[in-house]
Amino acid sequence: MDSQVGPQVLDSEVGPQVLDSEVGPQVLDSQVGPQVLDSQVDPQILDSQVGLQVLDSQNGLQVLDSQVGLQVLDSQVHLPALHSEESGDTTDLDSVRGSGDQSRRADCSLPPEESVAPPASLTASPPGLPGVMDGVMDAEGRVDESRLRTYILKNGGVCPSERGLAWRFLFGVFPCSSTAAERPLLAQQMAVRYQVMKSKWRQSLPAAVRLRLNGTDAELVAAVRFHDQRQAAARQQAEEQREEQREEQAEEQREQAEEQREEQREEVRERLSFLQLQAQVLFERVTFDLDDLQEAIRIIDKDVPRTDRDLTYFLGEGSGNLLVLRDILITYAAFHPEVSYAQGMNDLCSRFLEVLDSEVDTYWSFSCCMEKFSKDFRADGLHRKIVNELWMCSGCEGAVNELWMCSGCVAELAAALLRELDPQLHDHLVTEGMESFTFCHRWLLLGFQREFEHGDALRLFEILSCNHLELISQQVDRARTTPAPAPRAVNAEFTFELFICATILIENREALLPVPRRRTAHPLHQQGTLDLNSILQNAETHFYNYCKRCARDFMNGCCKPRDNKDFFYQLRSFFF
Amino acid sequence: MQNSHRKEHLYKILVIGDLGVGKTSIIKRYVHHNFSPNYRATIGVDFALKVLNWDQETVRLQLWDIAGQERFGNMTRVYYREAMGAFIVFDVTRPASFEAITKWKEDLDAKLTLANGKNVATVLLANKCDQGRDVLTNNGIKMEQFCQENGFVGWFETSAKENINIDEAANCLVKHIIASEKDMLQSEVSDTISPQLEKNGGGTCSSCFRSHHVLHP
Repeated sequence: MDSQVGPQVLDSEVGPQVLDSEVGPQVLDSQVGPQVLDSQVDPQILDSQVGLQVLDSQNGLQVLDSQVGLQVLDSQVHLPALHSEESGDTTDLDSVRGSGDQSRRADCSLPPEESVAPPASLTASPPGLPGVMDGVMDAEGRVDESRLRTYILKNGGVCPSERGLAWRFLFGVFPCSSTAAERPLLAQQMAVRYQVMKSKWRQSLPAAVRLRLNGTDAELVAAVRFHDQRQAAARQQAEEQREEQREEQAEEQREQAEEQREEQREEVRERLSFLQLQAQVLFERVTFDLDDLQEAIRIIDKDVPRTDRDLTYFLGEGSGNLLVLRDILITYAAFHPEVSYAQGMNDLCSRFLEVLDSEVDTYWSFSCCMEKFSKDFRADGLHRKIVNELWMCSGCEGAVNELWMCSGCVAELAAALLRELDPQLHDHLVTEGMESFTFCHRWLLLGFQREFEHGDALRLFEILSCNHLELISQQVDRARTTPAPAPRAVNAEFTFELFICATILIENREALLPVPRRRTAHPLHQQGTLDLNSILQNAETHFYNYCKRCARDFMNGCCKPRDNKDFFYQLRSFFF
Repeated sequence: MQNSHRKEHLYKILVIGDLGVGKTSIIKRYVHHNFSPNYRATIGVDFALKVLNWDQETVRLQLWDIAGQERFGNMTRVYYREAMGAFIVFDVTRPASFEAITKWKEDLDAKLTLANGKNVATVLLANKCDQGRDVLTNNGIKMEQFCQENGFVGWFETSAKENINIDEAANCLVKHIIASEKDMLQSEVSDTISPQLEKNGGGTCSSCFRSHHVLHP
């Protein structure tokens, strides 16, 4: 199932060639007009206008931020009706994506209640702020993945207003190799597929469409009400848009280009019905084990209300987002029966929903992320993560993502790393009976979500998801071993995640060492109180020192590398 | 052993049961004396410490709040280690959570025994009794029978929300833990501890088994 639904496959099925040559340009042409298409095709225009870009379109002047510009074009492509309203707001990434969602809603003739939640806000951030996407995207809107990751690591995360866009690439909603012209089509395909998937389980289990309320949780009752209201509003909005389009159409009939337009509109419709047909065929064969799915839904319904409701995103009217979260989790469980739902996924998924503020994009980024994480959430994965079963995947050396997936699974390694960094503390924990490192379990599974203040936790999640230090340790290794491969100097299984674990322990050394276990419940049982910046800094220092020591040991121990100076130079250059 | 200062005991106590039955709420009520309707789901395990004065001695209870989802079952062996007692919790408004009780008890007994080979003292908690008693309606006598058949040293109807019977249940458990500890110390030969497998003929206190059931007729 995974492979059928995953965005990777989206890529290969609707390959860029197809998008570019067959569907893409025509669609752009048809709806936005030749000027915009020109500017997209001609990289010079985009290149030369760093900062603000002015496009003359039918709706008058539109000021676009150059970095987001291409994204904005995406939304324009599908949403002529919103142009005038949005012309001032176009730099807000979330609103850009959000309007993309709306366009999908308008385009995909699915029932309105199946459509995605509207963006929480259409208010704009100031245009033209330089940020992570500067210098990361090329003229066609392709993202240099390694530069994106480097940026995130070196800057300790991206600024919150850019997080939505950065995460869409970081977590694979869009392949970094996709161009701005391809993305609206990918987005459309993802939206159609998600909606087909969601309707499929809803049809199979009509009773589970609505969250069952036991009436004791007034907040939850309100959440359902807000959610219903929002859907009703979305339905009405879609209706109005359709109305507007019809009027527009009537007006345009008098125009010369009418005939051509009609033709192209026809093509859009055809493409959409093709996408829907494709999705239906894709998921037709899928059958659900209804008992399993119902059990998953029962647990989801227990956990969704227990998502961190103190976050602004889930407060007040935002509590309706809990129901969006529920739909995403059920859809994921239904189409990934081997993973289904495990406690903690609600926390993980809520992070994506909050950052991306789009049901469809959250589903796909969450699924991508789960590809990595699912091994942890499965019973055997969790076991492996803690218990003395050092599990190594032999096939994953070299591939950074997979490496992270594998080594991240082993909390055992946290203990091993601590032994390297602070043998005294490690021995103390072992004699105190904490050698199973159970307290690291939640840290690793939820990516330290509950150990830091919320904003910091998001930042750390972003940094850890970059796998950048893992990349460095590999580069160090490669620098050392080329041309002749030799035994590893650096244990590549010690991921940055594990360095964070070890650093938290070492930071709390004073509290851990002298105090006998009986004095305290657990010295590390402190939620949301850790200082991220200091932990990050120290973890990085530990990592650097560890690499250095390993390298030195290696050189003293066995064969002298060809050029020590060169090696250390390279090592340093990875950091600074 | 007979020091001038107060003697201290540290007991590790497990709190287990299906998800959403109120394990975390019970612990929060017991340790922090408060209640909130929306705790976050426990992932893996959480810890809390409760200090009690017990007959001129200090008892520290290290409470292990273990995630309820069954799929984490593989982990329980790690979490159970060295525990001296356990609460198994179910939700009186949800029969399925009661049915899961025997599964939890079997899991516990299979993976954890005291040095003398006996099972750890376990108290059954029928939580959310403020919200109705579906599972227990006209079921009082059967409950006691159920406990005896399944090796629970006692059971209590509790409400973390209304603070009903939680201290009482903890006291009952501590009493049995201390009794079983004495039991083990008696079987100690000189300074070596050897597990004694001989039967001790129901030495556990059954008084608290009956004394707390004011709620049922």
